[in-house]
Amino acid sequence: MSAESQDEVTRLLAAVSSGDKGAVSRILPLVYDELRRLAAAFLQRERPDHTLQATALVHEAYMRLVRQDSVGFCDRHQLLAAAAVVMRRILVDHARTKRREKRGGDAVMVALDEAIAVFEQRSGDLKALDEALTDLAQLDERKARLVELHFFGGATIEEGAEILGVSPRTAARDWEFARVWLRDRLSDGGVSRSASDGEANEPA
Amino acid sequence: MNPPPSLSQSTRFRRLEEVFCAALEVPEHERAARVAELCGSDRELAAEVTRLLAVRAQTRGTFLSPAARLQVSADDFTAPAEDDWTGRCIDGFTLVRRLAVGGMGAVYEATQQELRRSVALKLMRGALLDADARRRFAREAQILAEVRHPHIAQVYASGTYRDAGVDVPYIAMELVPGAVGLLTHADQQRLGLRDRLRLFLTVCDAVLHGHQRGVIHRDLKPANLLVDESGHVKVIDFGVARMLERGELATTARTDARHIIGTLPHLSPEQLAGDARVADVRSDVYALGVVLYELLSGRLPYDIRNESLARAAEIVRTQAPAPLSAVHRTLRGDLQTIVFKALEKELDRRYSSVEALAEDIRRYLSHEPILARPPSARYQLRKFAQRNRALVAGVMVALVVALIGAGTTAWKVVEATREGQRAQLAARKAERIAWFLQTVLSSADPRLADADVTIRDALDYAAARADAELAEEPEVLSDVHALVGSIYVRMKQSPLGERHLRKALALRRELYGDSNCIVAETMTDLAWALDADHLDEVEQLFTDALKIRRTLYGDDDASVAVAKTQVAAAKSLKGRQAEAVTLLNEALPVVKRELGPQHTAVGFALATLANCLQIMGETAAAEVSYREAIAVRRVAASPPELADTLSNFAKFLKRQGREEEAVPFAAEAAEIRARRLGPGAAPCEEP
Repeated sequence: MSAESQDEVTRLLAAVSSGDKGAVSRILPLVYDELRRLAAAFLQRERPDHTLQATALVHEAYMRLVRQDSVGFCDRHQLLAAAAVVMRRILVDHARTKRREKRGGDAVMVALDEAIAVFEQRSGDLKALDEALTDLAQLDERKARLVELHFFGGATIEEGAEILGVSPRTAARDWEFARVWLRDRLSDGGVSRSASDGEANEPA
Repeated sequence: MNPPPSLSQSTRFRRLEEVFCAALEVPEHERAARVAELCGSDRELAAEVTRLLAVRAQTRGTFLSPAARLQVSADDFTAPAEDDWTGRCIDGFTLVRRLAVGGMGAVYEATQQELRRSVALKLMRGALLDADARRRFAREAQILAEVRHPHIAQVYASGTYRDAGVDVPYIAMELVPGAVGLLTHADQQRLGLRDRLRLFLTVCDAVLHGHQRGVIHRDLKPANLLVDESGHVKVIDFGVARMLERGELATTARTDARHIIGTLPHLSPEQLAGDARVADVRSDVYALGVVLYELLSGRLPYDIRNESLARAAEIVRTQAPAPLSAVHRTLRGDLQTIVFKALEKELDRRYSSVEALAEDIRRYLSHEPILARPPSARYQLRKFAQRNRALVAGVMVALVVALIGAGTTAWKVVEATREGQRAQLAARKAERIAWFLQTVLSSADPRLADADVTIRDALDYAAARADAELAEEPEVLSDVHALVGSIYVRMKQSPLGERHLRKALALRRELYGDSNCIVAETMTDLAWALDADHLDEVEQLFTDALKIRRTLYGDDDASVAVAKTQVAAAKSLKGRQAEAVTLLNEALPVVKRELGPQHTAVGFALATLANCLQIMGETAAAEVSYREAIAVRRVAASPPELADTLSNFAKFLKRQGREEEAVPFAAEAAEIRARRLGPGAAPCEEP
């Protein structure tokens, strides 16, 4: 990809990591372009028993966009944070559309299908998770970001702690609770009394 | 102190977290008491924490664990995307271990509980199938189950297993215990040439058995040819490729591409050409030929290891296999003839059946003369001609593209923009024509093969085929004729071009009616193709074309003005100079304004005008026009056109007795022509 678009990506990523939602939308087409190119290159490799590792493919595409050496801004933590946001968007957007449309032969779509399969194998329906995560952010932004970083971005909990500026112990506690809270929420069909029930307590 | 009647959601969330985490700090058996203590009378909170603690106990470790880290490097790509299903139970089969992950899913060793036997279970995850596909899949599996042969791995059962809302088709097959690949086996056992051939004959018998039951393997390659622990050949995946196609299972690009990559060296040229329908038993013959080649020489007939998919396919389709004799001297002669006959790219030249291939190998083994003949000298010559024809076809296609590209200049652009989508349409047609020409010219046809193939032969041939094959598509047919005609005209073969242009014109008149710009264009092209004996028709065609354009676009249009200069040229040739001059004077300002003062059309108009004026005796005006025409043509005209005008002007000057002035113009014209035609070429006088 050209130096210009790489600069553009760098700029957009900086915007993403500072919380600019619009920047996410602008960066997606660039990521997809790179993906498409990469996927095509992969399919041309002659390696009989080579498995196209879709998740890795998505990541690779992403990392190509943000080659560390050419990244002018920030440390890799900021980069990782932005990457997690973008990954989440790519996967969730694709999960939303994939069952509506009959899938064609597009290599990128197939790669994404596989990536989603890998994610969903672990954690169930991605769309529901995305919604639950959005709700969680309403209640506790930090926990939601930690989940995003860890699950979508692949950051360790310790890295997440550093990125979010909390102690590893706090992050571990956050993670433990967020994970269970999300699991609970997904298992009972999105109804969670703990969060949505405003009726609160009985008087003492 | 009373708690507030309603806590905000986030405060409540904090309380929940607090209690939850506090509960986790004490040993498990004390947690209930701790929760009760911390919640006090808030029983609902206590209930929630208790539920979350239960959820925690049940949540699998993989939940929300990262699928991968983002800091992956390109080298991390080899880990399989599919997770191992070992231990799962699928429709009565327990997966014991994963044997392989391949292009179409994974193969497991499994135990069929009911029959207590080991099977190979092929799971095609990532396949897509609807109800129809499922039915076809089942029907195909039924056919395969009926193929029974000691050297074919038996298909026991098939079905679809539902996993996470997705259907996963599977096939249970005979497990080949301790299996090794055919080539590995031959090497391990240090089999000699004759033993290798006998081993290969066993494979042929198995494949032939399938063919006799109407099943083509379609994916024969060493990986599908196994030898079990007691040395018996087992052909696996018989017909599975077709089953997948029939079931439309292999519809994802991943599967397709990867599968093709793995199989490419063993795919026949017709399969590579993408036409699955033509694949028949001879496609299996071809694949067996590749296997035999490998078995005998230890290498593939084509070195395509480092090529891209497209390039590799091209090599297999067009290039001759590397001679076996180069690998080892013993492989010369009959063996090479046999292998190469199996590897023939043309279906009709290949062994017509596995039986025929096996028969020749048996003959070889028993020292009888084989039936296959090495290609004759005549055949070799034909191949040479075909290679040349491919070259010709390449030239043709390049020519077509160039012509159609160049066609969008001058007035054609004017028309194209006005006609809106015409350019787009033209591009699409160009593609179809190019496709047609390429198909025709690169296909095998004996009529062309023995001839000394020239572009002219190729053109005639293309046009003849077009008449036969494009009858249903008159639009494309007319395009082919128009194109072939124009190419002839440009090749200075006008009489040949005329025939095609007439056909094109007739077709287009029928297609588009008499007042259409494409018809006008064809009329113009045809007029240019006609010679001096047809001046009346030339004038008529130019005049008709002008009328059509005038009706369509009005007088102020560039294409109309250009048409006028053409009519003028025809009238001038017929001796009606005054009419010609009137038309030219009308046209010139419009052409200059619309196309620019130095456009070739301006040069043409001025040169024609100069001629007319000269004949009319208007020497002063003629000289002005000549000089202007030369100036324009120096900028934008082909060298021959410039040379014509220079030479005409030189003659004009001579006729007036201005010999000396004429010399440089005559000299320049001569120089241009010499350059064009090469030294020693006859001087070319225009009519």
